[in-house]
Amino acid sequence: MSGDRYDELLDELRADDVAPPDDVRRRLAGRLSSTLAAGAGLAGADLAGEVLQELGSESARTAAASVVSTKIAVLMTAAGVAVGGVGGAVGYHVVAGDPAPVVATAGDEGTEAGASGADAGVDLGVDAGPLDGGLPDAGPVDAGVAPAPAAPSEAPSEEASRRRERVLLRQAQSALIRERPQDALTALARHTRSFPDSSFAEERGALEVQALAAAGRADEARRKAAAFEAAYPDSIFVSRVRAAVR
Amino acid sequence: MSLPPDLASVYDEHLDYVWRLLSRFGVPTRDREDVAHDLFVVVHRKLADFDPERPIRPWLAGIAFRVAAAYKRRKMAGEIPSELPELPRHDRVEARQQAAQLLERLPFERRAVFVLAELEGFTAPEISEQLAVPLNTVYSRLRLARRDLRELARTIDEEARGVRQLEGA
Repeated sequence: MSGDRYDELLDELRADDVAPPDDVRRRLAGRLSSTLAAGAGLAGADLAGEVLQELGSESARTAAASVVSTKIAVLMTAAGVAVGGVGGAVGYHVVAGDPAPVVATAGDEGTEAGASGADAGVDLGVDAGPLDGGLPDAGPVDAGVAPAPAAPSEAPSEEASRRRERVLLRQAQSALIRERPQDALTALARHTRSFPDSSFAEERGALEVQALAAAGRADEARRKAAAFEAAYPDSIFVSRVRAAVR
Repeated sequence: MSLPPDLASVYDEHLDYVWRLLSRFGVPTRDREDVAHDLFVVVHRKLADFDPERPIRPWLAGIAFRVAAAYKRRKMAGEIPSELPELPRHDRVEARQQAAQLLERLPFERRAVFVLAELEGFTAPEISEQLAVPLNTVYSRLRLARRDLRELARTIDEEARGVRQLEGA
């Protein structure tokens, strides 16, 4: 493809400036006035309710992350994963924000995005590769083969272990973003095998539900979602888990 | 009945802007009024949290992104009728319409970052803040969106060449 073609495309998109017709402008103002006058401001505005809930949970999540120094926080930003049927095929759709929980370590040095605002996601300071791009340094996800457990004498340090956990969870997250739920599931399975009693099990569980839903394994996703809610009824991820299996 | 003064000011000054954003985020004309309505309800509810010392457009873009995303979720869930656009033919479709249809084919997150960076001129840190995603994710999505669009445009070019060859045969 020539660069010219791409530049033409950009020019067309930039020039495509739409504006509401005057009658729509007036009607919309009237509708808005009626909605706001109706009380809470949400009557007939369920998208607004959903977004307000998201914005509220983002603020709560950011506050929670600020007091957790070592535990990975899985940030479900304005995110969601929906499994929808299109033309008879079950598809996985990235629908908002990050489709997968954004794995972040509160307290890590070198955050890039988190410093710029209260609602900004916090990125890993280590192992950080492009979230949408290639996976971080753990290499391709290989299905089915459990990594050999380390001999006691070679047990990794606690920090190395946490790092390894983050890498696996980020692999899962990255795979979800790239619409490769099977890879996400493989990474999560490796995490489960390597760290069965992980303190990040809650985050892992939320990712599993999303990955199963994205893979079209709706029944399993629903079972996992129910188990997740039973295990973590107060989790900040409950709404996202529910959304994944809706 | 009239809008509260602070909201009325935002509405009057920025309706065209959010309308354009919603369009570029893929909310079709048919549903744009309803989605814009909900967007301004969110603006109304969150306006007290907005720092007036800061530019309002990135903040509005963050809300537009979320409302468009919620709309997309419903659409994907089948709650809103949907149709998949066909890949346009170079010789049959106006260039602008064709460009818009190519944009429609990008995954939503990439599309949103592309729109804000390439069409609206926001910086990556601004996008990172307003979309609540890490900065490296913004760069990555932008890179992938450009790549996707180049590939799509190449496909169109190849189709067009094929058509011309057939017509010349």
